[in-house]
Amino acid sequence: MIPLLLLLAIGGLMQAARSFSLTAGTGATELAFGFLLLTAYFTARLVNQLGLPRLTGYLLAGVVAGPFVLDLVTQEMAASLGIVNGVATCILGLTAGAELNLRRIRPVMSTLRALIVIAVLGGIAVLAAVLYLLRPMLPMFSAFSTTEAVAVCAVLAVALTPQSPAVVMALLSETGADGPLSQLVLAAVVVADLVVVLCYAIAAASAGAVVGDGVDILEIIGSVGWELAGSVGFGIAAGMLIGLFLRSIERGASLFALLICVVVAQIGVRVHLDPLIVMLTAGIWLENFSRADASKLLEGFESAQLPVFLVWFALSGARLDLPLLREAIIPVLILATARAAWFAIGGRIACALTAAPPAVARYGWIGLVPQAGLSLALAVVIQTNFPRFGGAAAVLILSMLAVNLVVAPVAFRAALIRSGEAGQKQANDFAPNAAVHD
Amino acid sequence: MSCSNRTRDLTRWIGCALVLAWTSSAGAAPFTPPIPPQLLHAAPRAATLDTWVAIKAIGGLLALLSLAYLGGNRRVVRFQERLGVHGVITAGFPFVALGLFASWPAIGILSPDVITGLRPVLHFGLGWLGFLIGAQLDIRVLDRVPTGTAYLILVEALGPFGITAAACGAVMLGFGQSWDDPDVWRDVILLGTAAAMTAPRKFRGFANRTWREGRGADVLLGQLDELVGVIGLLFLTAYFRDTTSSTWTLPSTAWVFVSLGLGVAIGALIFAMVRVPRSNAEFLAVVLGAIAFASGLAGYLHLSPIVICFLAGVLVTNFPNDQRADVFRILHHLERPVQLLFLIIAGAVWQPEDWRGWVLVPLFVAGRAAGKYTGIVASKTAVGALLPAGFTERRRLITPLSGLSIALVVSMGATTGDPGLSWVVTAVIGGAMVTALLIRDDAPAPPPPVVVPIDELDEPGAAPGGAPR
Repeated sequence: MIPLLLLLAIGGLMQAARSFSLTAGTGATELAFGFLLLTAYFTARLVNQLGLPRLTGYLLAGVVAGPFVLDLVTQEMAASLGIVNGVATCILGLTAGAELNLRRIRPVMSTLRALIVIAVLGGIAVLAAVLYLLRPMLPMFSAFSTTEAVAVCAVLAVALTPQSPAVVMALLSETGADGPLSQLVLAAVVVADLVVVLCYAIAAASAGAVVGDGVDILEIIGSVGWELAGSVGFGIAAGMLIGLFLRSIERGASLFALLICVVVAQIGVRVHLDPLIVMLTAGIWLENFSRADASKLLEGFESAQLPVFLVWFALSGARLDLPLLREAIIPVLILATARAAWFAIGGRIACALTAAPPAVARYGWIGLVPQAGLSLALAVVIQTNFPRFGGAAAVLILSMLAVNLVVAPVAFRAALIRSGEAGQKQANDFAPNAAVHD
Repeated sequence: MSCSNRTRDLTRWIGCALVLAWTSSAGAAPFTPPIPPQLLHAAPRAATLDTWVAIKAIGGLLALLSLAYLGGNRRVVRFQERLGVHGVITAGFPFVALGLFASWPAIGILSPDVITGLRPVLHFGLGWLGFLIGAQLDIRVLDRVPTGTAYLILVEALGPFGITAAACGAVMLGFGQSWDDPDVWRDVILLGTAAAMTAPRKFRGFANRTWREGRGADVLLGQLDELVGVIGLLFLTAYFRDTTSSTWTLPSTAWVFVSLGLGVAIGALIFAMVRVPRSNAEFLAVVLGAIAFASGLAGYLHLSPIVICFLAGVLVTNFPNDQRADVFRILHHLERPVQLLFLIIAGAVWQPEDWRGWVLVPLFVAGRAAGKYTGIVASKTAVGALLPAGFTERRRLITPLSGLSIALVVSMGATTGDPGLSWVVTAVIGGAMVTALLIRDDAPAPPPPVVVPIDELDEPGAAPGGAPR
């Protein structure tokens, strides 16, 4: 009851302030920041009482307050908070990477490989086939021949496949989950993102050759190759740097790592590196190859995850374009169902072939369903690289992302709780484990 | 690592994260998305800014912010104390100079675009300062101040206010300004208000200023002077406001009540909100969000974030609650980085090239000293016998200028957006520097033994932080 009253009071103040000026003037950025932080937090409290993940509350707060519903946070305000998003992505990447202990994954490495090949790569094939069948419902295909349509379907299928390390990290943190399922899912979504980037290079180059949309194949291969290899290289360098700091100075390591995140978020994109891959690699290096104790860094970062999650997901919610989703709802629902269904089938096949632990076999595939950052990035790249169908493709990708972002976290949280891994992580003073016990 | 250490690190780096995020976004190119607005955050791939310029700007900012962080480190503070320049440095002037240096066109770190993008940080910093100062004003403690203190404060504030305002106003008229111009009145009142505020002799930030029985008179006077400054700012933002960009048409007096009402409403809201969190991370999120929201609301309505957050802070502290100490802990740990970053930005927005501002500096310093002398004489005569030892007979003519004075003029500049305020900013920053140097020259005499400590740092075992004990 109290969170609801507080939400109404905060919303009322925001509405009153917004009536003061028709444009976002002085104070708009911190107003939007504070408003999203508070509303996401209190909405999560409410939603949690209904048995839903807090993450759903963060998203819901963003959707309701955002430009497509109440318009309390305008598009201009959301855009001004873009940098918060970038830095948060890097922090999430570094944390996810540093959580990934390859020694602990080794027993289920064969399952991981099978998941990537069967569920993820197989998922691309399945989505491409479904897209091809859905052509009559998607006007963008009307101008393409059969060969061209196949190439476009391949590009779109790659963009619709990615997982979300951010969502997985947020839910692992919220539920305090630890165990084979948590470790495997985290590893799978990280590796799957890398695989998808590679697949995109191949699919985009092929589509460029077939569709001939003014696309320079070599340029695409070169840029994606640089983005992937360069990001991994820079990530290792960043990991070594943070490791050196941790070993030699120790104190203030969190701040130092944060500075690296800011640099990567701001400069990385300007030299065409993927900040998520850079910081994921840095985290993996720290945890698995550096002599530094990554747990010290994690301890500091764990403390600040909540504000980061609040703003990152609330902003993601604010950007969900509901009118756009309504227009494309039928093909999007078909595609989302096909994607989830294939992950379920493929995941179970992969687990059966590799004799995976029961919890992994039963719930592992659910962790592959959430979708967020990489799909969004690919939507932008497709729109830039393929002007003929990029606009319509972006609408489809965004709508699909909206569905998965809203539905999948609920399922994955339930899976973590049912698997018995929720609450297994050693409690930390700052870790918000309350969600499980609320 | 202990819980308190972790909390300190956590809050420090979260604060720096906010600042870094905004500062670096200010150095970034405007996004040029060829795509729907919802994809804006992914659009940096299409950014057109010259990479080297971006790298230079962000690298420079990171260097500045690292310095700001280091400035808050206890070891660095102890080193400054050993050098004997602690008073000057802790007042933060090197960081003002850094901001000024970084804003030179030849350096190109804090360019006009970057400074524009820094406004959210400025507003957040101002709101944070206001909240911290307000949260330390425990009204119940004020019931126990010695008899005659109110008179002492009044005359010691009115003296510097009147003389400084009159002297600077006369010079401004000599420079060709007109009495009929409301901005002249605004500037004169602002200068007087800034001059009226004093800080304890040894400044150790804003988070250790709560007066209680047994603490020095300068702590009490400094705290109450700041209250005078906030009230002055409340009226200035109400009566001298830009009404062109608003859909609300209200008389000036109504804006005083809007400010008061907003401050009280937000205070009550924060009071209710801080009772909800169950962990430190949640508490941090709520406090950060609340201050950002309050300062954003104030900025959006063209009111001062200092005033609104001050009122909120007073309410949160003075309503009975169990979270008071936790609020102080968060505020205290973020204090130094926020203050120093604020000073860097204040330096960056400062335009010292107008010589007329420098002409006001000696007048500002002399006006304060003369006003203080008048106030001391008047208070000694009228209420000297009523006050305990140390309250009147050991008063100094040259007292440090409160850090809030600089925040006050910067806040006014940020609220009104008037470039004409550069005179006032120069007078106050320059006056604060000269005062700090004069006090340093005045400092070497060892303090005589006194029964009642004059300053909080004279107390053996004085704990940092403003948490009530």
